[in-house]
Amino acid sequence: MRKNKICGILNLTEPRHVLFPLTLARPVASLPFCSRYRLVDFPLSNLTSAGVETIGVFLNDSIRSIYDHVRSGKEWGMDSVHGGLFFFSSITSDPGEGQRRLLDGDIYNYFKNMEFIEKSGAEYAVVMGTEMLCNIDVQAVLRNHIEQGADITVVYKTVDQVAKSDEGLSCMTIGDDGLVQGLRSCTLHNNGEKALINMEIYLLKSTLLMKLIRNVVAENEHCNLNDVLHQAIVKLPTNGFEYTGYLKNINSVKSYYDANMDMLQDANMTALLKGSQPIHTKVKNEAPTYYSKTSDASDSLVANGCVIKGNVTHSVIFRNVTVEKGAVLNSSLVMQGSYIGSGAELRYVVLDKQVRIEANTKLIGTKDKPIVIEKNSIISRILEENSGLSQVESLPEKSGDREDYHPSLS
Amino acid sequence: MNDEVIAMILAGGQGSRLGKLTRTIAKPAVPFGGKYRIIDFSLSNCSNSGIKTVGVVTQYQPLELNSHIGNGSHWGLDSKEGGVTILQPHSSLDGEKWFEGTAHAIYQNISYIDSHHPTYLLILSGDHIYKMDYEHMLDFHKRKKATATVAVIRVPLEEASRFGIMNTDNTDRIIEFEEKPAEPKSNLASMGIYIFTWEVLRRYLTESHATGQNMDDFGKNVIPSFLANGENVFAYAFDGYWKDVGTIQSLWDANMAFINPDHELNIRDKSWRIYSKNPVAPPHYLTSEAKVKESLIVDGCYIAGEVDHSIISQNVKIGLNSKIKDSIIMSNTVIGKNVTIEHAIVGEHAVFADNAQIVGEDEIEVVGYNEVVGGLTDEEE
Repeated sequence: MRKNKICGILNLTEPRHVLFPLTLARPVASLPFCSRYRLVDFPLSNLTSAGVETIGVFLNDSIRSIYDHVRSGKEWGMDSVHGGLFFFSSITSDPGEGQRRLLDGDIYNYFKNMEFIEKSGAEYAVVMGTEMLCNIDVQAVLRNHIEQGADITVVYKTVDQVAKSDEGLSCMTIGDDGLVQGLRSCTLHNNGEKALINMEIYLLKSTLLMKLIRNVVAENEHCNLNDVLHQAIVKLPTNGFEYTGYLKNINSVKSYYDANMDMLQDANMTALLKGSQPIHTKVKNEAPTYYSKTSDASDSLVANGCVIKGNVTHSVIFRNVTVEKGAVLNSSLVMQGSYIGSGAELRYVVLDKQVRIEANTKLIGTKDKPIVIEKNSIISRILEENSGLSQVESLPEKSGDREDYHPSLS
Repeated sequence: MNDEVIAMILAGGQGSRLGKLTRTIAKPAVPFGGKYRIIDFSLSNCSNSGIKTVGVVTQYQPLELNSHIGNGSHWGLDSKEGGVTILQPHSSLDGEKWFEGTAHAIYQNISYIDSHHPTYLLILSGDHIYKMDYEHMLDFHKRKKATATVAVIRVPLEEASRFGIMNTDNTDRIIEFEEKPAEPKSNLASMGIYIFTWEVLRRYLTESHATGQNMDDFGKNVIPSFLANGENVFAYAFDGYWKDVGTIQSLWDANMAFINPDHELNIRDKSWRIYSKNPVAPPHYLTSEAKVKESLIVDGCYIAGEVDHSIISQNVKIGLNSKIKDSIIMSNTVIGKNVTIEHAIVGEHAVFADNAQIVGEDEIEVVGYNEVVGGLTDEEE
């Protein structure tokens, strides 16, 4: 392939309030996933696997957490003499035009930085985000796009039924000629019918993308790139490309938790992570994980660098986690550097990074509403969510235990 | 460019006592501890000691070693002013330059060393498991105004006759060197780690070459010659963990000891990390049937069987009802169902058919790289 045939646009301006508190201090793209990845690894690896050498990363806010992870893009082979990674943070006020706030919509960020697409010299542009967790072959999309000869190619996934949590997505109707006929919100979709979910992955000529951005900014600066593309795929001849692999829309704590738990099933893990397209991530030097004599671990995914002395079942554990002797961890997600003290019991819990659970603490969430513990917390009380269908209430078993809240040395 | 000290890692040893494990790869490239190769320890020590320029002298089966080391970036040794250079024997106008010994390998690479204009030269061997701050040893070398410093470690007196033994006076000056003495006078064994004042070593090597004197080996020739000429040769005592894993038994012993989280090497210590090339693999998965006790497991594994007191390296698959005990399974090995492996070392990319059995009795069983075990026809089963 000629160098720089495609330029990648990572659209990371995804709304994050839906994943609070996990996204209080990080964009959705930086969410840790499956013991050692972050969501941004997926589109980034997909693009680089397809030979994309120039990638623009567009964010609404601080690029710190993404930049920390990606850096030069070395792990993805992006630190070559060709192209590279470019970071564009949204401008909330434009000094050139006084203090006018540009908070609504991300299109102005793209417009201001369109030179990047032009300079890449790429014939095609691919737009992807991180909310739609998948592993897609971008080269196959390009081949299909050229074969079909449409103006735009949009990627979709056929699902038997739209999940309640996915109603915020859009779905398409596609004619026998393979062209997109219409697009509507999934809330308007007839329940019980198959739906073609729009995965918000688009491939089109760079010149067309720039034209679309330029035209819309002339009329309205306060909209999103996604809105622009939604309009375009209805107006212009658009080819639908069907994706058949694993897909999860990460739009709530529950879907984020479920996506991680899905990886405990070999078929999902294979589809997303062990296929022909490897997912790369920032490499860390960690020791192998140690399991002690007292450990009892099964049906779990565990990263390097952990020390497991307790009982772990149906859980996903990130790097450098310690599970002490006698601790019970079930159906939980434990991020990097967390510590679970002896005798603690955790069920349906999501621990963010560097959480410390003191000995004998009991945290019981439910499948539908896992308890989320914020980054750097120290927890030493009893928290239980009653496993009801819709009614969820906090039932502290011993109210006096709140007094035990004490800081730790480590 | 002017480095005060540069390191030369001698990674050319054949390591024939490791049998199958070194038939196709050099000893320093032999896997250790689940996710390391032996040379990672020397390279990481260099990196952590602030040494920026490292020459790795290879000779025997260097392919695996060269691809492992690459440009040194995994150890942070790809800095602008330094870097790792792989030095291989080459032919020149004076004929073939196959390395005859440790010191001869340095002699053949004088032009490489000179190009960095070092004041001191650190000589390391690429086949020991240890953590050591070479800066302390260099400070000692300078403080003693030595021209040669030999790192030594105390070994049990009854084992001393297996080592090169240094006899020192009370100022740590080496007064006598005995290679594998029958009746050792001290228990200070040479670790094969030397610091030389480069100008002095360079003179010994070139002069001896000109006069036809044998100066091929540091232990046998160079150190005795330094002593005979009254050079300041000192012994730097090291008291940490240090293991030569030159035999199957010692490799197995060192690995088994490494499982213990309270191991002296303290592999989880963030202030002195041991780096390695880290290929990307998903986390390891333990199925509902898996039973893992007292073991180390690395990324990419799929474990449905029992693992007891063993080290399982990257991307190993262990099938249902298989039992692994007291063994080292190197990366990318595939183990079928109902397999029993005990007291064994299994090389990379080995394959075990269902029901295969490898049980080391008195001696450790070794399965070579890419070896296939089991898979008998139906009648034979």
